[in-house]
Amino acid sequence: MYVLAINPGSTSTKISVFEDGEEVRKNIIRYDRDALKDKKTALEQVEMRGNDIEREIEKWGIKPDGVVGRGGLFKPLESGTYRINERLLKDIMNGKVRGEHISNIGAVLAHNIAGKFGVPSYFVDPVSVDEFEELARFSGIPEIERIALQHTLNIKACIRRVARDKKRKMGDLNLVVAHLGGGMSVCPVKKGRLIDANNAIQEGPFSPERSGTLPISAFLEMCTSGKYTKSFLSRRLVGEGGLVAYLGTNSADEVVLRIKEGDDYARKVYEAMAYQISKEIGAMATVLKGEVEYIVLTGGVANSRLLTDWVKARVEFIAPVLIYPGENEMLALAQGALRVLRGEEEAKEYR
Amino acid sequence: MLILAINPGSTSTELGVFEDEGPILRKKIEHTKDELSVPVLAQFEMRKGCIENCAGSYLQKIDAVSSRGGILHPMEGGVYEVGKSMVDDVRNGRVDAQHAANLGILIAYDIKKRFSIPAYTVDPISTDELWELARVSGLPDIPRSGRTHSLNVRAQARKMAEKMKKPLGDATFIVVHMGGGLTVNLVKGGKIRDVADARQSGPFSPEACGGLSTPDYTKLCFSNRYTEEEMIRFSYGEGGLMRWLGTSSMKDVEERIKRGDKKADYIFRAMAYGIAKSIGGFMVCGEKIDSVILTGGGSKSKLLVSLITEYISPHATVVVCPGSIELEAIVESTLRVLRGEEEAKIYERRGR
Repeated sequence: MYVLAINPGSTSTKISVFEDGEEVRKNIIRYDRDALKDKKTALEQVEMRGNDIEREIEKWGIKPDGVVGRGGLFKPLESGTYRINERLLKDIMNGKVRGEHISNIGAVLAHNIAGKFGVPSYFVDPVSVDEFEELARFSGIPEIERIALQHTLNIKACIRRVARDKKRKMGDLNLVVAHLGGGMSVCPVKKGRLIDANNAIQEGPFSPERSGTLPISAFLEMCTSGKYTKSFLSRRLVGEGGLVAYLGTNSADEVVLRIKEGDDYARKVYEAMAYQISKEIGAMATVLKGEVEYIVLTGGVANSRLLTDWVKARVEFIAPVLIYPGENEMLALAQGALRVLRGEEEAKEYR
Repeated sequence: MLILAINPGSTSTELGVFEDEGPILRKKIEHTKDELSVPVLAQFEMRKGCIENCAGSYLQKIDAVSSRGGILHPMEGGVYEVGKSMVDDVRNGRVDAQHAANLGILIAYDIKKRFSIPAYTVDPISTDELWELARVSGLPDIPRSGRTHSLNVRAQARKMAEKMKKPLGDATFIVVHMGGGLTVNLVKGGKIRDVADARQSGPFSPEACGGLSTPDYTKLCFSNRYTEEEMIRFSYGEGGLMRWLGTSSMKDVEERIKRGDKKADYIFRAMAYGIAKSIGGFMVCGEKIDSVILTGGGSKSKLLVSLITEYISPHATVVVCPGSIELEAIVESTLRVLRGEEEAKIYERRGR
């Protein structure tokens, strides 16, 4: 059984064909700045990206049994694999999403290609999956809600992997999963559900590109000093915060290299990031009232042995630490579609 | 040895006369709204008058006067001699913030001059002993600070270590001071190594908003919906329970919960949830936690304590030490100096 997975990123579209869970074809269609110059919004890029995907698929000469696209900043949803329906397409086309992001058109691209082949299309575990327990939603002022947005696709894939590796049922597992990438999501997992998250944008540890939680009174002084514009500050929070702000790079590899060359400042900042990640894991473990079976470190930054060793030393007393470095979004998408195509799981309906 | 201990708070002035560790006289004067309507430094004569009235003839007999430390500049914890340079910094506003506790320094200095006795101030609020890693935030422009309820926190840690018969230097505690504001403190070897403060980034408290989503907060800042003063009050006085429920009194909130107020119930539980998360965050400090100490007025709430304990007890022992022991802490620290067990520190002027 063939599944075509489509994953639009800011400057490329990744496409892969999986045959029963194994990747048999893949390509990355790249776009330079010029190509995207007149097409700033995600919706404006649908036609161009769609045509390019079609051309590639034709070359491969494989007819998929289903197509799956990356999910976007949709409304709060249950976890699972969703059939792409008219309702969703209408919401996306009318901008009824929770923010502009290229992932919003993953479903549109998948739907269009699937139409050509007359096969069903899906999206899987978007960032907006909301399984928060009630208490997790309150911040210290009603104006700002704590919102469930996290790296759901990879985190859910990790929970499945723990279930497989440890011969357990996904719905029985209590874990803390930390997705460590350009942004970071630390989630307490209760019986397979993500009952809280720092929200990779709202708060939590600082990351390669984001500043995470900041001392809020001190930050207010920065906001009201008149020295900074709103857009400058917003960039300092997401994109140019964290490692970028301290060390001018978002590459953990580069930072590790500098540390090896004896850069003590880089070491201090990197270890502080590990400390903040550990604190977030400790905090989220508390939510599970002592019932944590494993702690999982995943995402690109989990490739850094130096960092995972630091975190491990601090949190190991809570539960054994499993390290699943990197993230395989394409595989996670394909598996989500396959579970439905094989009848192991029922597709959910977007309403 | 006779010691006068003074502890000016935001709405009250507390004092005590102690014969060594034993209290002979204790008073807490609640001030009227009228009295508090002037800026902190302008309350000097009024507060001094209260203390002199209560202390009466003891004033002539005391061997030393000692005050709770205020907000000066980030400094090490401990006992400091009150001298001219410290007083000048307070008087001229060359400190990080104006706080009623700074009046204690001025009053102690006044008494020192008049009666020619030594004056001390103990564990300033601006005590800052954070370890290097804890200072780093997600932006170099805003280092994390260690401002906290240091007097009570350090005293609780000392007391607990004594009770456990463990040298303070080998003990690790998480001390949660729950008042109108709220701090969660990691105390390792007697020093406060990390702090989650409801005014900055910790859980929300009866009066402070705790950590908030910075992108959302930025939008709010630039929305013109609130003035700067209003935004400041989210962190000081009108955030947390106050903003959600219109009261910062835990007693009131608990009453409402008893009467079936669902919203009050949710918010109160969410506060406990946030406090527990902050405590959990410090458990990764690399040492076994000897105990989690809940203190301050908030620890008198059985409901709050039981909600927090439910989250924490699987990981560490929770001990409740209700109320703060600030006067005792001032006196004990001062006695250590007077008996030569500890040396008084000298304040270095750092006026900007």
